[in-house]
Amino acid sequence: MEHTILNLVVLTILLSNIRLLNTSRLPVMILSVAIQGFVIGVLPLVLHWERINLSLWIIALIMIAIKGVILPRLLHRSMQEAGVIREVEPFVGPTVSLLIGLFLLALSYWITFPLRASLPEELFFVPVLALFTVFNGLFLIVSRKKAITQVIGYLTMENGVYAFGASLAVDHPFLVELGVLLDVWVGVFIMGIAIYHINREFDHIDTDKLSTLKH
Amino acid sequence: MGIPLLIGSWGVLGIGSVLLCFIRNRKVTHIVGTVTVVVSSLAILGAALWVLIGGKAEELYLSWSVPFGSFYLRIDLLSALFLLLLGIVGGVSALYSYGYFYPESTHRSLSAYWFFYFCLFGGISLVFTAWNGVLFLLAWEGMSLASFFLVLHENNKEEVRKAGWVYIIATHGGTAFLLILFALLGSDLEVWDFHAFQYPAAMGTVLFIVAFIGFGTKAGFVPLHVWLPEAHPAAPSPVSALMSGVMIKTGIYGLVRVVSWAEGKIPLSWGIICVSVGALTGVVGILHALGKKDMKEILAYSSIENIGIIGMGLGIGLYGMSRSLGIGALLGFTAALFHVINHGLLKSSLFLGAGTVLHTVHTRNIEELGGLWKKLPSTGALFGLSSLGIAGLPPLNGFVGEFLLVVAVLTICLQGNTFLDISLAILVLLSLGLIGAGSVACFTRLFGISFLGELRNRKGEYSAERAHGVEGGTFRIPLYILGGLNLLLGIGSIGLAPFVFGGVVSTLPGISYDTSLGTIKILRQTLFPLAIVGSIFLLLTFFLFMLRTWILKRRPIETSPTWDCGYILPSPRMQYSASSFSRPILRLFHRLLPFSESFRWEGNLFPETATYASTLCDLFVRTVYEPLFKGLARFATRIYGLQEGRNQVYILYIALTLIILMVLFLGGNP
Repeated sequence: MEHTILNLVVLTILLSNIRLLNTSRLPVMILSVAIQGFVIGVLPLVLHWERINLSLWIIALIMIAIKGVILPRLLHRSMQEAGVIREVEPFVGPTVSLLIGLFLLALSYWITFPLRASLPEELFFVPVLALFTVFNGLFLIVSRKKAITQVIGYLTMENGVYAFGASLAVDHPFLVELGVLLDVWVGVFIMGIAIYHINREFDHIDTDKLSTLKH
Repeated sequence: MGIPLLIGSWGVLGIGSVLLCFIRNRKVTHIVGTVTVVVSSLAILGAALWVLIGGKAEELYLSWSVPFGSFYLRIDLLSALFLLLLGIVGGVSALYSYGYFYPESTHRSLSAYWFFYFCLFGGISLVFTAWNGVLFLLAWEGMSLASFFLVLHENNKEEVRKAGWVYIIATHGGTAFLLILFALLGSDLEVWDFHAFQYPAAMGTVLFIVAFIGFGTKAGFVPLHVWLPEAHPAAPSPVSALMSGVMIKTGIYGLVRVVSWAEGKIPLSWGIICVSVGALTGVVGILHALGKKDMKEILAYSSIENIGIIGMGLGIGLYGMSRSLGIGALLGFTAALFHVINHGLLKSSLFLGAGTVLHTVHTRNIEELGGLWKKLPSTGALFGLSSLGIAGLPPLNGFVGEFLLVVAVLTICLQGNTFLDISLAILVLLSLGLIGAGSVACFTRLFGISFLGELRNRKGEYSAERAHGVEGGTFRIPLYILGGLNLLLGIGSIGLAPFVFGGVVSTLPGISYDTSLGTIKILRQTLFPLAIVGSIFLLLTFFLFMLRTWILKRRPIETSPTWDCGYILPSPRMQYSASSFSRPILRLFHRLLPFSESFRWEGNLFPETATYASTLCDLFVRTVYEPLFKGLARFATRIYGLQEGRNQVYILYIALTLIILMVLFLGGNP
């Protein structure tokens, strides 16, 4: 039972990442990141099933609420305010993104390989996928233009960091993660304001046009 | 009493800064600033004199939670000597600032100027008294930054901003080396207190070189001197006086301190490095001073030259220590410290005089000046007096240090007689000769061109009232104080000698009783005749002056234009110019110096138009720094493409770095 749930969680993370890579429709991306956030919020409960206590429950619930509900809703709202529903002309198209994603997955597997010895067999894929999520988020930030997509990429990256922490830091996991959550919060806050202002000033939210500010 | 007075002087500065925040009236601000510094400098003077006369070091220790730090103050005889100089020059320059900035104070608030002046003054005094590495570095940085802001006082001018940049880059470069120095010294210490800084001298050559670069940047040893001729002309004159008179001497102070921590016999190379760099500095400095036309730039290069003389003194001292020629070593150090004090007083009085000139005619270019002595009689006289002093002529104080250096070199020569001793002595004597002759020429030129003759350029015309205002009160008093001190220390150098010698003996390690006794004997034999001859000379001058007045009393005196000998239409442009004065000497060295001239002559026997122009660039700026910075700029332009302007690309850089690091350090390891 436990393993089945774990496998399900891992698979959902993988699939949501892939979906993020090959779609250009913002509502779908937000939904994917919401699902990913929800699943990653559940992850600590699954991982520490036998030592579960009240504080773990509370923190997991808060995480699920924030990552799975609140942040996606905020994103959705700013998407509607900006009036953008598509990522048009990204630097890297969906198909190539998928290929690069595959490469990143292999890379994260290779990098995480040394950890294999210190983890139980069935848990090994959690850090692999966590790292993949981090890379995926970075890749989204690098390869897409719209400010909203960048926020989504940032969220994905933070999901990855959280998952990585949850899978490894067994003894005092949540202090660090609360800090991370604060980061996310500030990030979304700032980016929300940034999106709003970019949109108001330039009538679009293409961040690559910001390069005119360089001179 | 020394430490309480020191802390009291900082307290006065603190109260002054608080007052500056609350006073709205600009004139009152200006008065408060002046009074604060003068009171504070009196306290510093008191502390210095207390320690010097009492002959006993004082200290105060408070623990401090900063890593490696402790609040450890100590005024020993060496510190007190430097504090004495700071007290005099700092206070006098502040007094001068009152008159200098008085017109400005009516339309611009000077609280920033005074605040940074406080910081600079307090910072220098802390540098001289800090007995802990961290505290010292803190004071050093505070001093450098405060002087940076003071240099930028007239920051609406492009050239001032450029000078500020050059200065801040140079000074931070120097501080970086000091950081390395203290890290090396304190590598296995918990607290960087100075008396714990001991290192075996035999292994310390790297340390010494690091210290020499770090402190030498502040002092202005060639080729680290480039900031001086930029910053001094840009800074307001009282600030130039304080910087050139005292601040650059902090480098010398630091160097002496570092040497005093060496244990065992010092390697020969230290003295040789110090002497050769000092000789190079002196010669290069005076040659450039000869060719420049900006009054304050000339003074800056002359400071470099004098730092060279001080450097040779230190070098002879170090060399004597490593050769176990104790008397010569002590004499060398004493000569260096004598020159520190004397040059500080002379150069600050010259800078203040230059300030008065600048205030009157609004130009620093001496080619446009002339005949100022008639308009500014007391400034002219005092500027002339200080010029005599800095050119190293007796009976003024500039002579004392150089004379002692010669005595030290001769002592080394007589006591030791290896090939190295003799050749080093010849090097010092030759460069001293060249420097002496050069500085006589240089200051004859500076004084003669700007104060004698007729005003050369009509644009530099000034009104009589302006000259009158400049000659009054706070403009003149500082110059009189410094001029009097210069004369007094020239004749009465024997009175200062015990303090200077005490500073040397109490600081340097391992000096035997016999050696100091022998040195004292030589000092007495050298300085006593100097005092007598000087007094006779002065009396004679006074007598001749009185005789002249007495003779002239019975005769009619008429004034006629200068250069009025037989020409029908004399013009100020017929006078000897600054360029023509220095041309023969610079032509001698034209292979060495980047000296270029252009000469155009039209018409045959009766010339119609003729033009002549000459420029002298800085040798090291031309050969070292310009290529270096051009190369850097080229490199920077080449990699400018990396700054793409797109957010995404920047994050890609981060991601790639991350991935590469992960692959390198984690990937695939079992």
